[in-house]
Amino acid sequence: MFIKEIIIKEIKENITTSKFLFLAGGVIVLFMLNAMVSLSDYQERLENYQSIRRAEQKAQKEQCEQFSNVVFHKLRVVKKPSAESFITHAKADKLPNGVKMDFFEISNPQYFKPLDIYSKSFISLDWTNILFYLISFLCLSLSYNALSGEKINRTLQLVLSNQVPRASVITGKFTGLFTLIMIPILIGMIIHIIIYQLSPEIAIEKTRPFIALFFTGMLLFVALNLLTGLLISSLTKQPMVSLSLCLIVWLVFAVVIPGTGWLWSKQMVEIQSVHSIKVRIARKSQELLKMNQYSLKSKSSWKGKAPTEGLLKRIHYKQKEQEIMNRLWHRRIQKQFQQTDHAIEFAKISPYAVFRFFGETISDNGYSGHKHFYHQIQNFHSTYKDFLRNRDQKYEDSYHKFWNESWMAPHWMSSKPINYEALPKFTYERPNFSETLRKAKGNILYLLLWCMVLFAGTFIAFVRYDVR
Amino acid sequence: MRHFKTILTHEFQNQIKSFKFTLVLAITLMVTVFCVYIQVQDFADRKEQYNQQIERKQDMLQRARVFSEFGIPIVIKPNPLSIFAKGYEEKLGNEITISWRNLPEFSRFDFMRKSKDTVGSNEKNPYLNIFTEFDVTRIVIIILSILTVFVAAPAISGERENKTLQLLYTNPVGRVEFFLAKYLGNLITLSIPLVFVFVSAAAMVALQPFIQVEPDFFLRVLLMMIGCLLFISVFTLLALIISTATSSSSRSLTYGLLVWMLLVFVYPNALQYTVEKNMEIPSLSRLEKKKSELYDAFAQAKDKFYQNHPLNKDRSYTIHKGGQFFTTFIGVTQKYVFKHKRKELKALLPELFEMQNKLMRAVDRYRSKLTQRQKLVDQLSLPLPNHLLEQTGTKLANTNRYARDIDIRNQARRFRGQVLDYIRSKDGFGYKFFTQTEPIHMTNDMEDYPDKYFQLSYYRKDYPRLDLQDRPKFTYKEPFQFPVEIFFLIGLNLLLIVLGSHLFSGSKVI
Repeated sequence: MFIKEIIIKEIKENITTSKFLFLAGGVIVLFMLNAMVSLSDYQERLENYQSIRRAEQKAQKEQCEQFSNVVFHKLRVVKKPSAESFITHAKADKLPNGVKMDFFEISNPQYFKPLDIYSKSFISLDWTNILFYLISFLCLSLSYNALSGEKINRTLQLVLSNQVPRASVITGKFTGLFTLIMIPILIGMIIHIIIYQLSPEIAIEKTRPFIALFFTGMLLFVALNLLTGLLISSLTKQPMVSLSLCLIVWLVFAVVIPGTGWLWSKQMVEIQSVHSIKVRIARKSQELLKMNQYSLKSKSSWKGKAPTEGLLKRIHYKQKEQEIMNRLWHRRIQKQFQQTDHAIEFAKISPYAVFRFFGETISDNGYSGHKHFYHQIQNFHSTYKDFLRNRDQKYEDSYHKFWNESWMAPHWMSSKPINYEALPKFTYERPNFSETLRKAKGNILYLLLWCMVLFAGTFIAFVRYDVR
Repeated sequence: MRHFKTILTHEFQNQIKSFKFTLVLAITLMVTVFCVYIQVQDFADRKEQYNQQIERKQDMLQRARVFSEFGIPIVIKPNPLSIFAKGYEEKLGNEITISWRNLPEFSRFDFMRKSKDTVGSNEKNPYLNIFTEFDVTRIVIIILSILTVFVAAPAISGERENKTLQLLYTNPVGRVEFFLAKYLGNLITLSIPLVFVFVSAAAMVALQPFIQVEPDFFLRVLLMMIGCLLFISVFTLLALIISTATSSSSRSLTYGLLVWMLLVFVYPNALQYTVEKNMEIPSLSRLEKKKSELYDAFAQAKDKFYQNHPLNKDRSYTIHKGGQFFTTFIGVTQKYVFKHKRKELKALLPELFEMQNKLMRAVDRYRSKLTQRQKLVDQLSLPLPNHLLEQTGTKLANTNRYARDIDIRNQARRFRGQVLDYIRSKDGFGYKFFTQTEPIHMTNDMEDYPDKYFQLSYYRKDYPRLDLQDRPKFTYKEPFQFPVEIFFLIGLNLLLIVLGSHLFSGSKVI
């Protein structure tokens, strides 16, 4: 009852206001700019990725002339840039994008891209940030006086005297404002998609399900902002007080909590320093060396000879040492992940941060994408190792010993060529839709829960609202 | 100016008694205490790391038995003022190794060092780069500035809305007088949370037993606070100008917030983004190419040296490894090694230093290209009050690029010159480079030590450590950079006062 009228009134009242026109225009322009910038940015990053891949293929092919060379060859493996980075860029430029690996180890993540260490951190242009800053601001600025403003003008008293149910007022106001805000967002998104559709480099068909998923979260985010404004408006009597409270809520949830979570997590998870790891490795190495003493003095001419007992001891020592090194470095990276995860969990107290990380999960960019890439690398490394081990078993001229001393070990490995095509190749696979949905599900439910609580809160507060 | 004091007192009392003010004070204090507390904890971790680095430095110095092993790491102490303005404090590293082998560079630019782990060599968790740094200056830039708009934006429009402005003009009150009194009243009100922020932060830092503050710490904090006050003053004036031009307090607040968003978020981010997207990062490949050219030239010098050498006949005695500057021998007597090594060193060390100097110049050229983007951003940000405050803060805290990068490296280079002179004075580039055995005592059957085989040092286990008591000592001299940006902030304030007074004089009362 009367809902339709209230919706239309709400839209009509706000659509011509200067703040709406200004912010809505800004939103559309930013969406368009984002489409153009992210396209060229993606092409650039894709070129960098492909040139590294080509160089790596060439280098690996050259090493294939001899099996032992392949074993020691340091392979550069780089994460494919995300085609959905327009959804969230997630400071991907500031994060490592690849690793180096050989049979023995995976290096710590590295930057295989030009890196400007003097560059300051900034908020990049993407869908999440447009919504995070501009739309949330627009929502709050439209909803803060939706009820308190009407109370001041005495129009609320008038409306309710006409037997309009309070539920209709609140639902109508919410729906009206929601529809209004969706107009610039939808226009912006459609323009963006059209620009992408026209570009031959992007397979927009593959991106569509992810856009749809983001859209769901985006609806909840807009609703959440509006409901926050309405709740505050229904709890206060003066528009100034509503606006002040909205401002504080925005400041705390959008700026303070997401910005300080990492400081907290640094206290919760301790990461061993590089030095202390090196000291531990050196100590363990010394212990192992004592147990496997071996002098190089007797090894002046080893070519063509089977490894001696002394050498076997050294091999054992080197393999154990490598194992310890791999374990300690891996553990350090895991700790770094754990620290970052804690920071994200803390930040997620704020639904704004939830929305930001939701975008990151969908676009498979930033930290979320990097973590996924690192796990794939680990799996690939074991496949790569197994392949080389199996291949080595087939060579008769090999003593089947792998240890990380490139100046010494190749003499006991096969010098026969290996077929490049048979080597396992790494191709980064972004999580498919169902996997992304599984990961993003929690965030969607969390946003939904916030919306439900805020709606219930707004409803109760408005039912108890004294309109006099 | 008869009514100036009355209006000012009235404005101040009104603001200070308001709910808004209590809210502003509570929020700033809460955020400051939380952020500074955690930053202090973080500082404690950095201090712990620094202590470990110092221990390692002592260990490194004590371990050296021959001059090929001699190196002094310069470790820069964590700076307590970084809690106020972090700048580049943690971005570039705090250690430079001074030795004949390394360039006096932070590890990321040290191309002579075999760095296995790019990220591993950086102590900070790189994934935390996805979060924003929160220091005291940032609290003022983001939080106190928005709260300033919140307090000051309705100051004039509110009076207009309540019709008190009309009433006020029935008295002989000058418009400029009224505007200035309003401005000062608001500024004094807002300086209270600002003073609270700085006093609480300074107290939290200075009272920690593990933080030793320098004598000029409080002076620098005071100057930072003055910078922040000027910054807050700019936002107060902007809010008042908006308030002059609008008829209702909620409208002035909305426009004030839009201006705030433009100045604090939109313009700086759009500028950084546009510059970074349009100016490419200079490719490292040219520098890498230069590096390999220089290495090749050095390898040629090495080959030339070996051309007529008996060892050249059987290369299986020698090992040339990628990162090894000199040759390692296998299966020859130590006496022979020492004799040969000394010749090699005499011939090749000047070549090595020459190569290092050329590489340093190439790195400097690359760095200068790399900083061009940030320089442009800084130039285009000059009219921004937040940029001016950031520059003031980082200059005073010595965490800006000059202090954390250029000045430290310059000091390190000068110190390296002293270290090399010291090594020369001790005959460290002679036989003492490898051994302490006097050449005349060398015998043909000297045993070798497998664990030292791939290094340049050859010594018996009972060798004494090098006596380095008289070695040159490095003391980091913190520069004092006067923040000229404070004058820009003063200029901006004066400009806005004139503009505000002028606009208010011509504005409507109703």
